[in-house]
Parts: sequence; C-alpha cells; structure tokens
Amino acid sequence: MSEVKYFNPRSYSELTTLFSQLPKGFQTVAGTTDFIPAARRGVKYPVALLDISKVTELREIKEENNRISIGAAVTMAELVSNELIINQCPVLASGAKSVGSPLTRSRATIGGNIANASPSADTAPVLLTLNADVHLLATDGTTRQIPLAGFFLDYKKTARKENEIITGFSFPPPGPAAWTRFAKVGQRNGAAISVANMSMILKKDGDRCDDIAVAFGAVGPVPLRAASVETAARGTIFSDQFITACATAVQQDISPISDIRGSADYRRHVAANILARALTDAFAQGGVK
Amino acid sequence: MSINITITLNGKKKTLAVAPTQSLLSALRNNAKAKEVKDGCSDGDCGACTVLMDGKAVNSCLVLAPAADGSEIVTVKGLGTAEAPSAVQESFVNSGAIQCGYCTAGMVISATAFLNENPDPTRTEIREGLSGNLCRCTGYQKIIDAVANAAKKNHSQGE
Repeated sequence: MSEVKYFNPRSYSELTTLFSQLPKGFQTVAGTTDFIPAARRGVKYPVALLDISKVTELREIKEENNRISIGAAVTMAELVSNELIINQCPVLASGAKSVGSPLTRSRATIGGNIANASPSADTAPVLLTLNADVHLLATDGTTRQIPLAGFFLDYKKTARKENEIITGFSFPPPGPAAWTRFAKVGQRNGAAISVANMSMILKKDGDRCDDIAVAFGAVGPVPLRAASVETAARGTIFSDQFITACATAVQQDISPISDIRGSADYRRHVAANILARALTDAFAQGGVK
Repeated sequence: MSINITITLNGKKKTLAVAPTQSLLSALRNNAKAKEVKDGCSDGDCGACTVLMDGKAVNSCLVLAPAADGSEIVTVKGLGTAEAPSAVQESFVNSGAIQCGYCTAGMVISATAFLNENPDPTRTEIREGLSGNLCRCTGYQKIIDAVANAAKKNHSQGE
C-alpha cells in the first residue's frame, strides 16, 4: 500500500546531504508519540518521513556563551534527568516530567512538543518564560533563529515554513536567584493532557516582585505569555491586593474554550488559582523553592 | 516499498522487512512472531505493548518499525525463562500480581526499566513509574507489592 519514503539520518551532515532527495511535502518526525495516534485517526500520511530522532547533534544539551541550547530530538526523559537542566532550569525538567507517561517520555521530544503546537503542550509555557529562541533549518541550507513568542501563530499554526525543520532551542539560564514554578491541572495525575498549565520565573527582593515571566497553556488557541499579569506584578509589593490584582489581570490574557477536558469557566478559575498559589508560595516565609 | 531493518531481539539478530508506516509492535508480532508482546490500544495509552528499546521502556505501538533499525529490543521473554525467571518476573508470581495476564508482559518490562533507574523506590514512585501501564482487572495493589518486593530482594542481595 504505502509509497511513503522514510529517511533516518544519523548525523547533521547526513541530514543536510539528504535535503536534495527530500520530496516536497515531507514531514519531520522524531518520537512519533503524537504522529502515530494522529495517523491512526485518519490524518493522511505524508509522501516522506524525515526521522530526526537519531541525529547525534540534535540530541545534545549544552551551555555555551551563557546560553543553554537543547537539540530538537532531546527526549522528555532526558530533560527530566539532565544535570545541566536540573541545576540551571529545574522548571523545564518539571514541565517535561508532566508530559505523558514514563513510556511516552522516553520517546517524545521537545522539538515535537513545540512543532505540534498543541495549546496544551507542557514544555511550551516553560520555554516562553525562558525567552527561548527556536532554531530552524531549511532544506536549502539556510538557518534562522526566532523568539518562541512569535512562533505560535494560531491554533496548531506556527511560523515554521514547509521546508523548515526545528533543530533546537536556546535561552539564557534564569540564574540561581530566580524562583520558578511549573504547575499543571489535568483530569488525573498520570499521563493527563493539561486542562491548564503555567510556568513562572520570578525575581524578588524581599517582598517586592522585581521581575516576572508568566506563561499559560491550554487557556487559548496558543501557549501565551500573560502580559497583563506581568505588568501588574512587576515592581509591586506582595500583599493580598497584589494576588487579587494578578488573578484579575490574568483574565484579560487568556481566552479559554470549553472542550472535552473542561469548560471555559473552569479554565478561568483554574488559571487564576494556579497563578495565586504560585505567587503565594513564592513570597511565603523562607521562599518555598 | 519495504525496508529491511536489523534488530537484536532478546539477544538474537533478526532482519525484518517492514513497511515505512508499520509500527514496531506490528513488526514484532507479525514479522518476528514475538506474540508475547501484547496489542492493547495501539495508541500509546495502555502500555500492554511495552518493550525495552536500547534499555528504555517504550510503547512499541508508538515507534515506527524502521526507527528501530539497529536497536536492541527486549521483550518479557528476553528477561528470563519459566525455569530461570528474572527477579521482577518471580516477584510478580510470588506476589499474586497476575490476574488475566494481558497487561503483565508490559508491566514486567516497565517495572524492570523502572527498578534499573530507581532501585530503592517508595510506593508513590512505583505508582508514578508504572503510570503508563493500565491493568483493566485493576490489580494494582498486588502489582505495586510485586515491584516493591523485587526492589527489597535486589536490596538484600546487594548487601
């Protein structure tokens, strides 16, 4: 039946050498934990599959020039257990750990989580709060690097062109002084898709919020930075009014829909609650880490 | 168009002719006749088809067969035999962790991979570690007992 071509390069040079043979309409895959279920539900197979899961250079996590870079084919399990990630940005390890089950995490990649552009992708809000860039490579050999904040255009629509593949992500580490939190509400604890998720990176001086980055997923067509919350919180002294102001502000940032996992109203409540809980914990006595 | 892949299945090299869109689960059951790998949901939800792929527990239904080329695959049959079961296999038997048996092959593989990474787990960690494997008989308590007992045994043998 199948005329689908399959390419499985093992290195970056093998990958770029392949480009001349790749037919138009190819699809890049890696862990295939989203791809196979989608194909089973009738999404048409592309003419060719470019499997980048074994490209050595795309499986690396490294720190260079005070930026952490993560290859697109790095798995969720690798993010969870990587020393550099655990030490420099535990919030990403925490986001990755909430994806699927241990079985899916051993295959699912960060590149796929972002390329798929599901609003509920758990690594998306984390990378947004880290001010991450997406690195893209086109089949004509050109590369570009764009902020993730400009990558998600609409529901499952991204700025990636048809002939481009995501090669990885890079961001400055938030630093040891930052207080970070990944929060997720799902329908159950194990292997659940987010009803709402949130990443927060906060810098404080005593009771004052010096700087803050907050992003949410599953409460709009795309994962998004909560600009109103950030404006309301930045430079403000922690208090009950501060919490109320932020919980009110978040309602302007999000535009949830009702679906099989929860109603729009429920998502609005949940988003405000995980935000308030995180802020309360951040300023709690001793500063819960 | 079929693709020839070579895998090491339970220690033996096998060359299989697979379709580019075939799953590893289908290649194992239909091409390699490894029927001990169970097909539950084919969708990554139930974990019945769990195998070790290069030492890591994966849903074989979510792996493209050609992506397994060059990999080492271990199924529940590769862990031990009826005469010489692995510690985890033995513990599942001794703890009464098997009801209908359909999830057992995947459970045993997941438990094996989990204990390799976390040899001294709490019960909560065991639950999290097995969260990709469903038992529709809901025999979870005994399954968790089995993994905890296997860990204890490993522990006492190590001392």
